[in-house]
Amino acid sequence: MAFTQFNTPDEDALIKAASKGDKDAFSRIVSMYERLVYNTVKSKVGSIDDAMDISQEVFIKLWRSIGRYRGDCRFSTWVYKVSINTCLDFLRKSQANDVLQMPVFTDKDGDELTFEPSDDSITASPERLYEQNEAVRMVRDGIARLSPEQREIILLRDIEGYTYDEISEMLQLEIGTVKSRLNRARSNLKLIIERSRDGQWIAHE
Amino acid sequence: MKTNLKPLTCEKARELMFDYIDGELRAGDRLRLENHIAECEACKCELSERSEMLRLIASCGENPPSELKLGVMDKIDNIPQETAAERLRGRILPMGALTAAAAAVMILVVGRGFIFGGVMNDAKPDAGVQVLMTADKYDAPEVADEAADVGNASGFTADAVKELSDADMVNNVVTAAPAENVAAPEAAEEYVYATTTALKAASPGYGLLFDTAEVYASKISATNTVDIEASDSISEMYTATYSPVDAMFEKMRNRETAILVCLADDLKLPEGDHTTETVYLGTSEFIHVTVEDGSITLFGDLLQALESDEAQYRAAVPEGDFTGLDIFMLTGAEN
Repeated sequence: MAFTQFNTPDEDALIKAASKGDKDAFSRIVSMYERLVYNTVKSKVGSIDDAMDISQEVFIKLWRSIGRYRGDCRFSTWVYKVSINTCLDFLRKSQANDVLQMPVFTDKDGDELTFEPSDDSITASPERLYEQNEAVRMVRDGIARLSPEQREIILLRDIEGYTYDEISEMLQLEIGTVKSRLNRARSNLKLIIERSRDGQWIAHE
Repeated sequence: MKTNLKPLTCEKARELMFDYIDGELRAGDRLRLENHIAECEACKCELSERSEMLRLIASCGENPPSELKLGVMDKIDNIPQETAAERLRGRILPMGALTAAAAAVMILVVGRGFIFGGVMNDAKPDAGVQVLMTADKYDAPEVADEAADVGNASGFTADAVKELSDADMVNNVVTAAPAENVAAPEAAEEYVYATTTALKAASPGYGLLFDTAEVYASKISATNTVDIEASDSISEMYTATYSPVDAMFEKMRNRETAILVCLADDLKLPEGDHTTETVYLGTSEFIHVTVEDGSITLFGDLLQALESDEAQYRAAVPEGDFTGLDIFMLTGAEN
């Protein structure tokens, strides 16, 4: 059986071991994918608590059904699909699709970021805006304002660092489409950031 | 570096910038962009901003709270994994019948990237059919839809169809038909037809597989004797189910369906001549039998036919599109 066509041998060994009940192996799989799962889920659902619960549910599903994975796509694709499907189940059940389109981004203390510039950022100089924390905050705000499609591709490529090939498989898109969507998303994000920055400059002046 | 390359406009330069940062530009475009940047302060500034933005985006991801992993590891202590039997039997096939009745035939339709399995219980035609279908085209909801339609048409219960559409992963589509509702062969046929039609649409490699499988099927149906010394009951089993299976093959051939493997459970192989290995195929655990010297008489002429034809089929189809000759035996010995 061509079990190892897409993953590294190490990863395959972990998957195989986990499918036979090896919890240490599964623990390593969780470590490898918790960022992908968590950030994916968080970008889809409405609250941090939900994101935690759903992420856990994703991993429990993976644990239960890892024996179904046959190695005919990347394991990351499988994990991503399970994440997305679990989110969709959640959204369906909560019957709240309409209010859950806005992802939540948090600062390092776990407080939700709002789209209003903080007092601090209003009084900051333009130079200050480029300093790390404020700049990251602004970029996060910008990402939150992208369409779900554009947000998804930025998350996969620019935040989680998946290759075009991997993303193409995850999203079932041609590579050309992945590239053009990514390009649009980035350009759009840049515009959003610029507008937001210009707005703050005006507010500041 | 000055070259004769056509200069870029600012607009074109900006189109290329992200690819440039990613290192995805071809040499010619890269040079043109670099030439442009060397002379255009605004674009130079833009490039630097974009580059900075991508760097910032990269730091936007968050590491999940440590409680996530701790919680998962804590919970799975009390959550058993699906066993192979559960994957096959619990959710899909409540099929004590397979091991109990001497007339169960497992048919696998194996395609590149998907598997269809059906179980017909010929000993009790009224006993219905339990069908499982697995498509690993994760984005093939049309497969699920087709299957649901067929399920409805075949008298599958609403619950079974619901389970189909609510399957926790799109790639695992499962239905179970209550025995009394379905006449086995027809339902299986319809199911196979709908499934393969949908899967063919989803998988461009399928046609090739069909070509080979068609011949396999005819080889199978041309085999009139079963030579399995180790088990008389298997011989009987195969004989007993031969006729409907043959008829099914005939119809499947006409409908361009791939059939590679026909097997029964509880088969004792003669010693030597082969190696076995447990494999996971779709939702089921199987023993994969590799025949080493070709002398084993598993299913009589069937195996021989498959083996002698393999080279021919390998030559006839492009590299990479041939699924190979795999004999999978359902490990259905749990009684």
